[in-house]
Amino acid sequence: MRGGFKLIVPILCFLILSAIPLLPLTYAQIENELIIYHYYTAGGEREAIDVYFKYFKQKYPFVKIRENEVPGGAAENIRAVVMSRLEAGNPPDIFLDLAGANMKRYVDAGYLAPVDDIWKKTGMEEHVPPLLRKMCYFYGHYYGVQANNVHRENILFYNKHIFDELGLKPPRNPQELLEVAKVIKERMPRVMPLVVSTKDYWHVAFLMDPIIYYYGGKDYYLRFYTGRVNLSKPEDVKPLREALNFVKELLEKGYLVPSNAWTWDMSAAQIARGRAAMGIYGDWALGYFLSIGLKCDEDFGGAPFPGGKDEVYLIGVDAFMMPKGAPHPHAAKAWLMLLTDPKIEYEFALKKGSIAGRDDAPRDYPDSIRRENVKFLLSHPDLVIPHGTFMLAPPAFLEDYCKAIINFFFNKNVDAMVKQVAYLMKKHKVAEFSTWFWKE
Amino acid sequence: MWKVELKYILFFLLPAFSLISLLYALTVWTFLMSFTNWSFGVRFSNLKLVGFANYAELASNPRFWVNLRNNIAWLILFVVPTTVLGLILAYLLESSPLRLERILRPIFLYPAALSFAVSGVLWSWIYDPWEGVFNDILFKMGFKEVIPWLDDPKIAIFPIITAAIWQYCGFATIIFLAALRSGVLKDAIEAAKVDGAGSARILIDVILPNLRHALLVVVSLLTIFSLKVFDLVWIMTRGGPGYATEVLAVYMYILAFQQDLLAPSAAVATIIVALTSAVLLPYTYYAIRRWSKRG
Repeated sequence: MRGGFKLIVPILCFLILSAIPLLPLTYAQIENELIIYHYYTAGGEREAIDVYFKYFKQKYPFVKIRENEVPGGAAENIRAVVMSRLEAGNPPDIFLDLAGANMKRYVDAGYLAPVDDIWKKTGMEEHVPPLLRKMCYFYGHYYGVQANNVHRENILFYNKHIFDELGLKPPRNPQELLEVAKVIKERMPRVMPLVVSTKDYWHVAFLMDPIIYYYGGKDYYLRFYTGRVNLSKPEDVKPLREALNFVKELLEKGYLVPSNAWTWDMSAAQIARGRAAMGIYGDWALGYFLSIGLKCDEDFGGAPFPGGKDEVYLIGVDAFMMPKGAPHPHAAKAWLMLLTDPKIEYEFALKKGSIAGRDDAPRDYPDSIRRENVKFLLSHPDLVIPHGTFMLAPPAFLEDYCKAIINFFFNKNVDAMVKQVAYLMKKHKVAEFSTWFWKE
Repeated sequence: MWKVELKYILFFLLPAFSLISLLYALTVWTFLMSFTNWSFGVRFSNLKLVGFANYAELASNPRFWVNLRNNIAWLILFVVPTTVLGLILAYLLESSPLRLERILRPIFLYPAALSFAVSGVLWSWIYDPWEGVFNDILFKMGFKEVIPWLDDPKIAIFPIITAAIWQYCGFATIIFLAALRSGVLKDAIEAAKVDGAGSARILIDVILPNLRHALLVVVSLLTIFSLKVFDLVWIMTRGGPGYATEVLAVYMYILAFQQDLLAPSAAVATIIVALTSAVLLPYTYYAIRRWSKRG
């Protein structure tokens, strides 16, 4: 008996010790802290990120989340904070920024750790569309996991009550936009037909990008934002001129009201309150409208712009990235793993206004905007392209370019604007920076 | 005995000296970096000297000149009115009954205690073209047109400067009030009154010359503020519309953190230091020399 006991004890010890490596990595190695930086603070976004926090806390209750919110849409302000920490050699565990060109900037600077294992382990490579993969893939490695799935960045939101009262349908192209704006201006002179925020300077890109796409088409649009146009050639300058002339007409007729008093959500609030009729945003504005208690197709509506035969899906992707030397790398990877869960991704998307990126995530969205988005995404993969200003052009170009557009709102000088764009493309080496997009 | 005291003096000065050394070291570092190709991700070992290229690039950029013009506008439109207004308010407070002065003094000083983030947001709301208090008052007075306070590039800088004057005026008032209450000045005013001098004569010939140190402090601090102003502009307009209200400090931030151009940003920082020195050093030298001559 005693001899048998002597034998059982070492066997049990061996079994227990040998089982430890088989325990999930997450519990065996995860540190008890996660330092995270993000900019999801506006209506809809805040509720969405809370979904991730809720599940992370449920799964890893022993990990203390040190959450650092840096308000400022389109990663406008978070970069200053994250850049300072990275340059000082004091990186966080995880941070949020835009994928595509923005992510490449961190990769080029040598600050990001590859996360190929997460993409492979979680089946992301098989379940995420190629274009989305491309936005996180540089020099043979994945460097982040998309946080908010697939945003559509070219949706014209409108006040449904105003449109119903005037018997209007959402415009699908610049000509229809002029006609609709004219009716609004004539019959409801106190209502601003189309609004855009200039305080959040980047918002003007959401107005300009779809218009450039409409006048130039897919090939021109992609070449334009990757610096492969020659703006001294008439054929390359023509679509840009047409787009600028259209914006000029909107401004001169008082149809477009830019305001420096509003951030993007404050401009959307003008539509919600019926002070304005329309605005072009990404589908994240849907999250905002829902978060303030409005109902889609009752209080507000949204339609792709341009739509109809010229319809396109301009995608925008935010991604969480893990820096090299993150103090809690296992906790950071546990966070990234959580993002890849299709059910959690779907729940997040419901709040955020986007649609889930994985093809195995649920597709039954409660509003017509996202149902249409899913339908188009699946049926027209060739017309799903990156949002030029945010996903393709270098971030340094974005700021200068958007400020130039805002200056154009006031001087309305098309020739000067064309020259300015050519100068900025050269200054920020857009063509050189954006070669990654054209590589297979 | 003196040697022992010197030891203690040096010991107690060490923390302040270390901090000041660090400050100057960083200033020198920034100056040196402005002659390199430093940008986001460029390691120290890969830095290259580019001479005055960053300064030349700035000089050829119209945006830089708009920024500089805005800083000069701040210098004139902010420093002069704030100083004059502060002086007038201090004089009025000093002349007012004690009870009234006790009520008004904290009211004037209160804005200076607010953070620029808070006052910036408040003023943005006040200037909102559609829902702001100012336009609301104007509508009620019968104005039909919306005044785009922060939307029109031609006028947008003035509301921001006005907000800064509101915030800093109390600070200037308190400095002047403290100077007005010095015993020597009180005696001089009393003597002038006995000699039959009027209020204006007392102000010009007695009070102003005796406020020289306070004036030096106020003008210097306001000048420094106007050349490095950032927060109020950032909160109220973010330098917009476009870059119509942008100042050098805002551009410095944008170059560094939104355009990744750290060396040009260092060049802007160096220019701000140079400008501040160029304005303050001659003024301080002139003021101290002139007043020390007068005794």
